[in-house]
Amino acid sequence: MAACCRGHVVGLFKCHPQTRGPLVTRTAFWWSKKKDELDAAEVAALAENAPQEVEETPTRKYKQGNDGYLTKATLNELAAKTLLTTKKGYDPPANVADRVRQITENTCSVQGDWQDVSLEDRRLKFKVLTKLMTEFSHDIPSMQLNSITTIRDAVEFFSAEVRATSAFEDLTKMKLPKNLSIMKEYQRFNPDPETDAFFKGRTAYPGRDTIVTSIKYRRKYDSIKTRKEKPGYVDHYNGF
Amino acid sequence: MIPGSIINVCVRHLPLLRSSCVVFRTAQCSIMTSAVRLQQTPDGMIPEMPIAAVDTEMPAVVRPPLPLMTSRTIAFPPPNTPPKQAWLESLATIDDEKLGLIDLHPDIFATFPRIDLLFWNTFWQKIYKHIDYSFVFNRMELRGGGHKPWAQKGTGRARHGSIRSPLWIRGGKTFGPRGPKSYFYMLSKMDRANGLRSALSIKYAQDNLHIVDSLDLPTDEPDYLRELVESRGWGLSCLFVDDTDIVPRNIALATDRIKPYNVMPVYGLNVYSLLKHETLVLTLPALEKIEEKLLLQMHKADHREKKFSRFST
Repeated sequence: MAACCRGHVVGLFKCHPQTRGPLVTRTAFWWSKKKDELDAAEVAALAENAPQEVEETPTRKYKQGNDGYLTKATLNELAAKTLLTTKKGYDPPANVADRVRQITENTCSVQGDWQDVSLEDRRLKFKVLTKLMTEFSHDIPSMQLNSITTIRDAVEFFSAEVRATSAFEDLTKMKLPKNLSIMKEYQRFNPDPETDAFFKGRTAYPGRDTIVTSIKYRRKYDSIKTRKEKPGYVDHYNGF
Repeated sequence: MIPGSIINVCVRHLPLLRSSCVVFRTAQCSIMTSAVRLQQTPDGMIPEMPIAAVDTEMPAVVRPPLPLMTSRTIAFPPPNTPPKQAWLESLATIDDEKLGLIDLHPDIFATFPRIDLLFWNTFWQKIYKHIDYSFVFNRMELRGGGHKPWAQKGTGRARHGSIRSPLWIRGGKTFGPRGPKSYFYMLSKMDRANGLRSALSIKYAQDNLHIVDSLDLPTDEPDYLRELVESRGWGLSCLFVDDTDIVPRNIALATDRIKPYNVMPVYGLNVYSLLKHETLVLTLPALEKIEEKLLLQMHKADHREKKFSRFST
């Protein structure tokens, strides 16, 4: 047995083949080999007992989002993350196409396929889209107006789900395995003798406030103010 | 309240008060009195003023048949790029009733945003007003140190000429900060205009831009405006831009009481405010003015001024 350039033991098979061809393991062949040449009978026996050849894997197709290192993959991950925004969510109903068809037939004269009705005429576009928005109670953002040119585009828009929750929130609402628990909320310490049962109001940081400054998070979390006003004159600029 | 501009709350119904004139308040008289004085005829007669009716209930909004507008002629449209579409909305009701469709200039609302210019604009806005007052004495300015502390030779100590040399403790600092230092410079008009265009394009692309007919509200209650903004999903902070610095009474009072909602004239539009506020709400006259000014900057031939560039002497 010779050694390859990288020091691997090389035998009958190429050490590092160029193609990702079938990986045929022949370990039994090597363990049992004690003589230089094998009998024809032994070879035949081994060929019979050899493990089934793995089917040649097809050449890897580029699967958008599954590459891991490309920009497209990163963008797809970002899209899937659904950042926590202040936009409203939308759950598309089952009969979107039917309802759109009804409104189209009531609003405009349909010749041919109702989905091919063009919305190039601005008056018609305004009428149809405002009716659809009230029907589904889902607002069409201004940017989408450029891409909605036919009724088909409108159907596509109203069939698309808009998630208002983040991926983390959805995860906590899923049915999780029993050995996994997720702490959904922060554990905040409020040194209030009435609410705090563990320490009964004793704090390691006396006089330290926890102020929530973000306009988003001050709706969720209260500021904890523990610093007491000193009696007498207080220099608020210098803080003493 | 918006710093650096004169915001005058005035009732819209005063007939002769044009939007272009600014009413200066004095301590002695009220807005109404100073506005009335402007309208006084030479013989001292004061015309009758129709005062806006103050209703406790919000009056029902009567509108002509919708849509009010389906398009808008844009100045200098680029030859091969169609204009971008946007809804024309209203603040008169909490319900989001669209008034029509309008066109936006693609060179202003659909440019590829220059993120680096957004940085430079915010950097410039922060720093051009900054003055660094730090000052550290040098060896000449410190008290003492005029004579040699000990003889040159024979004492066994190192040789020194002055107790205030930079080598000494409490000595002078050779190249320390030297007095008021200004960081003033002017970012080029091209970069400032491009920054605004990038910020506006980003607002439009991220569904944070809304065009309204006017900033007239039925009531000055801050809860009305807050409910309106939140029900429409306009976000936590909102910037209302009108074409002039005289805005309707109700919006001025409502935004004064809600910190994240601010109202501003077109000349106060800046990249920092656009990035700071989540949503941008423009009135139609404001939109016209913004497009006109930015298109002028893009297409004017006179680019000589380079007086206050950042690295000039």
